[in-house]
Amino acid sequence: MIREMTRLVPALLLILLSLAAPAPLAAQTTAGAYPAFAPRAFVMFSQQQFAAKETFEAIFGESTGSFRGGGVDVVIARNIFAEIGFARFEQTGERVFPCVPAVPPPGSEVKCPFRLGIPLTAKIRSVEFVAGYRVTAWRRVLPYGGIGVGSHRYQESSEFAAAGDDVSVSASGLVLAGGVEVRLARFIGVTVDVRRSTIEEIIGSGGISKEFGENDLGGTAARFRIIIGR
Amino acid sequence: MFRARVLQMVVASGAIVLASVALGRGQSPAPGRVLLQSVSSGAVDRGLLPDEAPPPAIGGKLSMRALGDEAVHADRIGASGAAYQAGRLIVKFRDEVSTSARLSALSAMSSGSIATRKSYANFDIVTLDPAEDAEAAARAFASRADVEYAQPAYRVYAHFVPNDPLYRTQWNLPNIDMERAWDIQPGATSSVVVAVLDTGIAFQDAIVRYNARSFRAFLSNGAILQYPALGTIDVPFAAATDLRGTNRFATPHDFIWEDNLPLDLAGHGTHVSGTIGQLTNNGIGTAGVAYNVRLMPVKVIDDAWDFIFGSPNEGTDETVSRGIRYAADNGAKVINMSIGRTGPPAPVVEDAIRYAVGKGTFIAIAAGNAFEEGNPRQVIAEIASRVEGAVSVAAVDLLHNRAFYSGTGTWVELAAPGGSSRGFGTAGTIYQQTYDLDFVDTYDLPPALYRAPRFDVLAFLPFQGTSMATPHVSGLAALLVQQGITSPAAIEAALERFAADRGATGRDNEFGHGEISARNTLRGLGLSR
Repeated sequence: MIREMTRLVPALLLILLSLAAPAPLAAQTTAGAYPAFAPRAFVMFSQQQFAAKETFEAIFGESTGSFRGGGVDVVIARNIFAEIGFARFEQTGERVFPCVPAVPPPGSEVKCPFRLGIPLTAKIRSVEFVAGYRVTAWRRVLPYGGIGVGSHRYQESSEFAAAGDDVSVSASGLVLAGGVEVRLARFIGVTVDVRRSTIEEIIGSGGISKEFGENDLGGTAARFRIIIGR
Repeated sequence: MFRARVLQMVVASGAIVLASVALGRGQSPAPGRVLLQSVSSGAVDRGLLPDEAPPPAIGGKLSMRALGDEAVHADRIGASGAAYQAGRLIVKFRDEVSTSARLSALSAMSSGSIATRKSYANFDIVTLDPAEDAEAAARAFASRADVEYAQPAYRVYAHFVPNDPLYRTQWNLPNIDMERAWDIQPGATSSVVVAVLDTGIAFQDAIVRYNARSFRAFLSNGAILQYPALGTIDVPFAAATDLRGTNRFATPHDFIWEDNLPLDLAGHGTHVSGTIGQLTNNGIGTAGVAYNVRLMPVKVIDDAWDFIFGSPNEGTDETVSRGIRYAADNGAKVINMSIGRTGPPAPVVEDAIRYAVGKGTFIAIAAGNAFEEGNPRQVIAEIASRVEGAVSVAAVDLLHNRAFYSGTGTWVELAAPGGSSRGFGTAGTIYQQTYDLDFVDTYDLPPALYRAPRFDVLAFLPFQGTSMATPHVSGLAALLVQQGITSPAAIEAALERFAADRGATGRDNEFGHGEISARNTLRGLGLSR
């Protein structure tokens, strides 16, 4: 299902962009000097709640993680936007063993899962392409929503690894985003949005993620961007 | 070579029965031995002895009986075929039953008496008329509402089968990926104590004075051999040179002699201990799995010399259960039990196993060597299969196949290298340091050549059996404890989760969940792999 939707999304985005083609004329009449095609650059920071909550808690002790990155976007006819962004996550935790029983008895000092003291470093590198629509009813505050696809590379390495033990795999997934852009100045704006990404086929077939039955490397992120451009 | 021929004769003729003209076991109230000094002239190490071979013990062993006392002190064979100690019954009254009520129950049930409760026993020993059927008496006691369980004191034996050809490499450790496992967890530390419930360990230099009684050897072919009394003899002991070290042994105890001197009078426990904790990277001998742990020698099994010297106890469910409780109460995190028996259930042992696991002690138990002798159900191993935190261990050969002797059944939970000489010669067996049996098993010689034993001549000998497989699991469990996995149930789950599947896919009756894989178990799970 996700794979099929991933294929469909680029087509939907092209349709969305083609619909925006007549917009420049309208834009000139409603927004005065606003360009028909406005490229911008941004830097971003996001805090993500991973969908594989138990998995990340087991390895890293917390189910959230920080992404940092940047990218460019373009606003077409003031209302349509398309962005391509890069984000990177890296965190070090420990290899683990699941608890038996899965839930320790009340009062037990056992922490689950057992952390083995063997360092594990996970890296996620994502390139996401998202397009959507901005509401321009207000001058400084512009709500927006979009949909897109992401390409993700996941790397996992551990101490004492032998050949074939470490992991380096790629997969694609869907991205949904919705938020608001606040224009601080003519060429500076900030955005706050919530993004839901879905990345299957990387985790869930082995490791502690399999034990927990979690197969989505994505999650829900609160993202903050600083945008340079109109 | 001569001894080997005698062994063959013994094997061919079946079990022999030895009998002494001295006081029968259990009749000597005085201490049966005197520790003269705790040092000896030092060990003699004969190195690798590939042509040595211990006698077989398949759920049984060379049994001995006191001359003139056979009817009184011989083991009795129950309806199930299991041997038990005559004249004794293990009874567990319910906790709320008072002493007077117990005595009242006893007078109603039997002409016997209740012995003073021994240390590390949560049960009572009822002494019976030796002629009385203890199994029937147990059934009668068990039917009472105020009795939790009752059972005869079934005899428990060491597991190992003989081999004789040469062996030069420890294939068994690479086969479970130990080298890479040591990269992760190098041999644990002395903070982890592994109790070895066995025939004792060669853990101390000593000279001990014993009285060696005369005895008869009854061969099943009808022949009877008369062995002379050796009288008072001073027997030298040496600690195994590849086991000993500073602070290496923790709180030793002997439930056969009821003292704190669990000297190995057979060599089995010393060999087993080597696989768990033989000193490693010291330039001599062989390696052990968890070579930095402390070993707790707990003697619960007797052997021929214990009998000849008149030890007060034999290895039964009673000594085993007391030994388990002792080990758990004295800080053992792992208990190795390369022992077992067939026959009726052993509630007293199960009670002790559950007690120890409840105190956080993991237990590994041999699954038995009697596959070719009808593959009987192994009572103690079967308990392990019902307790999370205790495992029963089958044996595999160097090609990861089930060893020919290794018992199969629903109770088998894991497999580990136990060795097999069949098809491989001694190259397929497990080597560790123990006594040179030429100096120990002198009762196997004809009476004219029979002489006092020496327990200070050491050698590296090839053994095979689930007794040899079990300490691999115990050693790996000790490494897991060092890694921080201290819950017995979690240790069992880890061992089973990462075992290499053998035989039929998934759990099966030959290998259980598979052959242990040390490195994978210690490495645990990553996020995605």
